[in-house]
Amino acid sequence: MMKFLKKSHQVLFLVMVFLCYATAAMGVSTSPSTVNAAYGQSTTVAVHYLLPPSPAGAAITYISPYGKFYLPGNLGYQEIGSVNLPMTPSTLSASEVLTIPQAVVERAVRAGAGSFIYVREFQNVKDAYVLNINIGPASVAAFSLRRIELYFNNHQKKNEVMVTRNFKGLKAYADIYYNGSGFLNGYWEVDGLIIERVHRFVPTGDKITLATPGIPDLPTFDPGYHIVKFIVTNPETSFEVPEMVYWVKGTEEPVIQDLALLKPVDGMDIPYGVPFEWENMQKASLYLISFVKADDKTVCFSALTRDTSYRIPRSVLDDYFPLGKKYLWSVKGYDTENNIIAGSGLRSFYLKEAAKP
Amino acid sequence: MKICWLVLCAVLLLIPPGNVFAQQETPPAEAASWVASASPGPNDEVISKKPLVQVVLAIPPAPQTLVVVLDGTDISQMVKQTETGFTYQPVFILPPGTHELSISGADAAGNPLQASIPFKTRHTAFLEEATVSADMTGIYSATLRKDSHDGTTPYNAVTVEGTVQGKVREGANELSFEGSPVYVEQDKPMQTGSVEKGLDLRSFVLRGEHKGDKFQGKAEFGDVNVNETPFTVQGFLRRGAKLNLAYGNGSLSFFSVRAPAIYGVRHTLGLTYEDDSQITGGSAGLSLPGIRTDIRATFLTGEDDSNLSYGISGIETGLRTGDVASLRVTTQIIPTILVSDFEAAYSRYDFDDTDEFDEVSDTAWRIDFSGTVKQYTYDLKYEYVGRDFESIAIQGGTKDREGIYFMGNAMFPNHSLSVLASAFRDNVDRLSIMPRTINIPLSLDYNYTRFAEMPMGIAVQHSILKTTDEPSGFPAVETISDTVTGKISYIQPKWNTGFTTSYSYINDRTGTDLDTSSINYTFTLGLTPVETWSLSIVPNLVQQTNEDTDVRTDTYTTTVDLRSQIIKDLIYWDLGGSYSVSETTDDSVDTETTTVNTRLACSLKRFSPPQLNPTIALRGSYQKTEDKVADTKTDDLMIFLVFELQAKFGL
Repeated sequence: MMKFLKKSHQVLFLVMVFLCYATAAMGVSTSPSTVNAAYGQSTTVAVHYLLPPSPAGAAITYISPYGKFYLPGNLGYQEIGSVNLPMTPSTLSASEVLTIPQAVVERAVRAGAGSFIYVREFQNVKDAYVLNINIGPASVAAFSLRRIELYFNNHQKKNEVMVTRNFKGLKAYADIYYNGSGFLNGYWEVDGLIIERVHRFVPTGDKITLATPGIPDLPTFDPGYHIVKFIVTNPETSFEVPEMVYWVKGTEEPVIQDLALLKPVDGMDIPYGVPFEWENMQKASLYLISFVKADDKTVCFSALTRDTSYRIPRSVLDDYFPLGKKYLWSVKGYDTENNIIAGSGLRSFYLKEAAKP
Repeated sequence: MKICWLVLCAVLLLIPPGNVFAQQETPPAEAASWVASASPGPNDEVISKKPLVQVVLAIPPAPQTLVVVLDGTDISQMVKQTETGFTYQPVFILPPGTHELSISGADAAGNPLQASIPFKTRHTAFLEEATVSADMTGIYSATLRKDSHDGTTPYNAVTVEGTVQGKVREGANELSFEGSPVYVEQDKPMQTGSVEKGLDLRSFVLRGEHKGDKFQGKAEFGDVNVNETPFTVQGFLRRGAKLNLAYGNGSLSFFSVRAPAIYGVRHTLGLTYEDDSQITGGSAGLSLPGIRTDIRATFLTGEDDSNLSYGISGIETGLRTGDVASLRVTTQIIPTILVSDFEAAYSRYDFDDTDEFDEVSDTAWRIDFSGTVKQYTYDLKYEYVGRDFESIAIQGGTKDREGIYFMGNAMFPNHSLSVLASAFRDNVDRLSIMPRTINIPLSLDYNYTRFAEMPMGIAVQHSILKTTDEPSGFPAVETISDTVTGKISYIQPKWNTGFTTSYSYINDRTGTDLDTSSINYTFTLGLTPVETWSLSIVPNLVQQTNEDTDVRTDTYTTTVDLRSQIIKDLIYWDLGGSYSVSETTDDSVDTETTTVNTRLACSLKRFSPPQLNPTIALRGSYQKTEDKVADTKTDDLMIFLVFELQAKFGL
């Protein structure tokens, strides 16, 4: 509920605010002195205070138990919120990451105001510090983060995942919701190790999705669980950065080698009976050659063989290979335990009737 | 929630059994004439995953003419020919169901011979398909050296984690389970964000499914993914229950999930209804194939009091409540070429149920035209999102904005080009107490791929941000930002390299003139000289300049990743490292950080049964930080002796 200050306090407060504005001109003010707060969102802003030195170098303790939001009005200054975050700076400069809550902005808007102030007083400092806050759309609010969501899989948005050892291609993603625009600085970290630094300008747009790089991959050489974080260094955030875990199994990621297709070359018109040939893989005990219809990309026929070549038998032509159509073919190699150890790309061919002698 | 459970269980129980088909009793004529006997015989049903096929032929085929095809795969070279026919032991597991063995050849006179033997397989007598598999890894680590006493790094720790999967199917009905059991025991408290000590199930999902010709149903419990519409909920992976039903052209879905992301089941399975932390909803859809249109109505309601859940944190802290309803119509006006997607939504939302404000309602709508024509794709969208529109399942999403968005892509054999252009404004209710903002972001991304070994590209972004109708006292904003990025790579089988650079300039065109610029250089080098060695090195330099104060911040980072087998399949050495320096030209910042994580391991697999994979390893972690301004320095080295055991089995 909104509370009005008592009449006597209003007078005192008016005097204090007047002094604040007056002293601001003398250099006692916050840095920045004015910020924009987003309407309909909470906004975070780093506020810096430069404290006056003590007279004659005496030791002084500066304590500020809280800060308050005030709305100027015809009847005086009305408190519309407070921040119970004590500050006890040990040097002559102090900082806080101030969250301007959505509710405080809403109170100001419902009172018909487009701006309000944030006041913080320090014990042993004569003047109060005043931060002027204008209300605006989120796009011109102070650059600040509202929410960070981490996940691994771009489609399912899983926030925990299990991979084989030396798995390649594991990526972490961060959806970052923000107000305003500015330079987003931070870094991806896994178990304390920096994976990539991120320094980029993020334009107005509410949300940006970041991903870990392809090189280097997220480390998967060490079985066990690993903690991924995206640590933001700018803008300063008022909330703890999230983290998520991936688990590396003891199972080794199978190394699938490239298998080169030899004949026929890509895109050839070939008659029935021409052999399909590929390179020999040292550890392969079995090959699977697959034929795919080019139009719907479905496998129409395949063959298992221990050789490095294959001819389509005449007896299957009518059932599986209508002539004149385009087909694709590829080969996989398997070891003695039937694990895939090699794979080829796709090549195309057109099958035509054999030339009559 | 109990009612929800009962409903879901009832639906599962009511799922009709699989379709029963009459089996052909008479073998094909040609089979009867050429195949003297076969096992499995025509239309036999065998209980096996790899049934031995034995065929006796009445007429021996001429040499080199026998062709045997099983389910469209030529296995002629895999069969073992006998004096009277052949046998075949399948190499891979045959999926349960109907199979066809086709045999062809020619007799000595060259007359064609042909036969076909259909048969069925099932995994067990009771269930057509029954599989279960587990892949678990147990790790014991003992600390050999620890410089820092952080209170969390244990001296002795045991962790066991893995996956368990199972599936049973009979006809059209299927029940499956996936889970990630974990067991942790150590002599120090667990770190924030990790599981608790003891046995737990990190995540799980239990799924019941019916895939009938007309009726399909799927019920899921556990970690389920809720996907409805862009204005209601999308990609929402949470603990709870979900039910999807479809009959003919109609479909229904229901879900009830926890608002925050949770893991582990020690404290809760997450399947009970939790006040202040539950999101519940559903949708009804109708497909009208005659006019190529899908209509879906969605409603959800919920409450969320979390401010830090697993993998997510945010600024909002109060109890958020709200509900949202949406109607979506998708039409294939010209299939694939012109597709329209319209959605209108209404929401009520209270950003803090404990404050003096009640919930507020608002609307949002969008119309989207997209399609593909040859090598071109496009997407044109108009969107209006009201000032107070918000879905409880998409917190922090866009609101108070209307605008038009265009995306176009062109793919040519040697080039690709994508263009993004949009223009939007906010303060849609034209509140006089604050300005209106106009934002025009444009971007262009061009890639030249003629040389497969040397892909290159350039990207340009230009963005204009400007306020109008500023109230008294509100400083005008006019910012123009430009970013140019160039990239080039050179890829060879055993090595690759790449260089990326980007330059950004933020031009503040107001009187304050707070311009900022940034330039970023990244070089990548990847080496794989032999199969057992790979190395990547990525140096990166960022220079960010405040044009007003002329203070520049330089951040230099290099990462290294090494994977190697010093002795193939026996001794492994892997290393990940990073070195980072940050300094400013005004000497206010000067820090240096070095981190190295490494592992030297010996695989004992060759001395163990095939299902087990034991490894003994030394693991090291080193971190050094130095702040030259604050004159502080830390060094931290940790070394662990680790024993790993991986076990895998499947039935």
